[in-house]
Amino acid sequence: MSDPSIFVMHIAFRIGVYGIAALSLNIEYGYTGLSNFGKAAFLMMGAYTAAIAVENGLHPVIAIVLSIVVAGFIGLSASLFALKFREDYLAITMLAFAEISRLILRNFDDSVRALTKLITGVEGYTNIFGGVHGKVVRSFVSIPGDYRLYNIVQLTLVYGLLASSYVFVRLLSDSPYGRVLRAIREDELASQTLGKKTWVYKMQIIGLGSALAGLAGALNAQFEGYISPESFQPHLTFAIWMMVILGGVGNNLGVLLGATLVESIEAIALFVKSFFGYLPFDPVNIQWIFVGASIIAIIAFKPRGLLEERPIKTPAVEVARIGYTKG
Amino acid sequence: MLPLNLPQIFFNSIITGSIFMLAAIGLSLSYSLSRFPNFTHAEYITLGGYVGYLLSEQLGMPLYVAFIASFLGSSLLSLASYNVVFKPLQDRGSPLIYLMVASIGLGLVVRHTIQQIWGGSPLTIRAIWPRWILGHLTITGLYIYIITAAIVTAIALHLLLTRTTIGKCIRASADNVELALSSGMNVSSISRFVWLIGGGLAGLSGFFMVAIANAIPLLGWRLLIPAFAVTILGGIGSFYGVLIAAYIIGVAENFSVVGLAALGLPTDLKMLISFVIIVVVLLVKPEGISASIRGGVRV
Repeated sequence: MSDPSIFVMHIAFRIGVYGIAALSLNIEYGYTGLSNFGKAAFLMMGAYTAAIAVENGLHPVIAIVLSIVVAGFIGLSASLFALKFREDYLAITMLAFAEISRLILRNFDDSVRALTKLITGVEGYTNIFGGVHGKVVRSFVSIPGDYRLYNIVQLTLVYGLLASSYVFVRLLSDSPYGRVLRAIREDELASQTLGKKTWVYKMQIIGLGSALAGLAGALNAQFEGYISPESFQPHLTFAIWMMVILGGVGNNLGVLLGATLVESIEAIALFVKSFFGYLPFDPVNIQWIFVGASIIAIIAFKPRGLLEERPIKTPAVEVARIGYTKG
Repeated sequence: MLPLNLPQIFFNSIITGSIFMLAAIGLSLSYSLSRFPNFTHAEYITLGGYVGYLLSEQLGMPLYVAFIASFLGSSLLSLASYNVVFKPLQDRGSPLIYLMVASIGLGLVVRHTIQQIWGGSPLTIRAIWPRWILGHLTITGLYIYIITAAIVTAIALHLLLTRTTIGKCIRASADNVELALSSGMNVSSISRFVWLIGGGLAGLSGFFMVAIANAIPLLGWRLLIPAFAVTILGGIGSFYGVLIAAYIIGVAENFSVVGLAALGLPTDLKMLISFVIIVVVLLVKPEGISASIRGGVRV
């Protein structure tokens, strides 16, 4: 921590990354009412895909595209359950799914080794995911020597992608498509009676949300430089939920505000931990006690979040309103 | 292939099943009475483990004191979380997903408080248990404790649920809350009673886990996925369903450990069994096995 600006840039980067993750949960839960409690798994899949792609010499752009595609595809497959389950069943299943994915990733190489030996009799060697030891991830950006310039390029990358995600999610949610999503959230049966194939929408949304989460995971992995299954504990999923509920369910600017606030709490804990020597308490414990207690307070006293969801304002809605008042 | 020591595998399954049963009763009953999956339940398990560790290891009390304390500590936490957090939130009309998020949040508060007090590294109880060897079967004193606790709990709860008024009220409200309310039952005081007992039993299971292995802050969280599998397989809110499902999953898990070890695969993968059971039951028969027992009568 010699240069404070590096610390600030680190936090700014994380706010950008988790802003993308929070937007992805907002289209799933905020607009469509799908309770995806497995967000950490999709960030993990994006992160590992990017790590492996860069490791094999692929261009960073291809690595980003691959991690979006892989996470999105796995999300689409997982959504087959989302179509059948009630919201609490979906939540439990997705949470268990995230834990199981982490478990499989941690044991994947050992299992492949054991099975190779069992089938061929030869002691094989596989090291795709790195097991418990995790993986070192090469950065997407390489500017040797100039650390400040490097950070600025990284920030430009993440905020560029955050801005495009925001515009995309905003256009999506204001479109007729987005209005169908809200209709599904409010009353799925009613939307079905209006002839909407709600399962198609739900599948697409889980796929889309997971793809965005994969993007966030990939960006974070290459910036942090190291990933392991332990980086994707349920804490991560919970933090993203906290961002959405705190900021405002169904409000895209709100969830970005939520991401900023939650990451700032994290930053304070990190700051206290690294700048003070011995403390009678662990700032990380205090951080999570505070986060846990404040989510309960928000749910009790401000359940719609800091920025509440607003009615859609598009030219079409405006025309309809004026037409209605004139008629 | 390894020679299978079947008696030992079945015996271990009974131990695992007993712990799952103790851990899942409260989860299942509170899920149906309060109508949301309570993730703080994991921390009742953890707290019970640490309270037991505190008394038996740090204060040098006899084991039965530690048992009672782990039950009491967790039951008080469980009751407090219902009274202070979940009941007021429900009265304010929080939707199910918000209650679930709140329960994860409260879980974080409790878990990190525990971690602040006892630290994150594993703690073990240094007790020497008497050991008996019957042929291929090895039994320790701890296992006798666990089985006794499970049998006593099962019989006591059976008598409570069938012979007493409050037990009948619990069964009625677990089956249909609206109907119970309209029959004039005080569902919130019934709920309080269920949260108290369920939390205590979870604490007991946590203490047993600590005695078998060690105390870590994630103790309860590790047990939560199997506990949900038991709850869902048994049918949410069904005590007899939990009883049967816990032992089914206990057997499945122990056989999968043997199978995985024989193939040279990591035994951590046993958790897959619980996940597969959750998904398959929810897809095929979401009401669980409770519908099939007692001639189709639930609970």
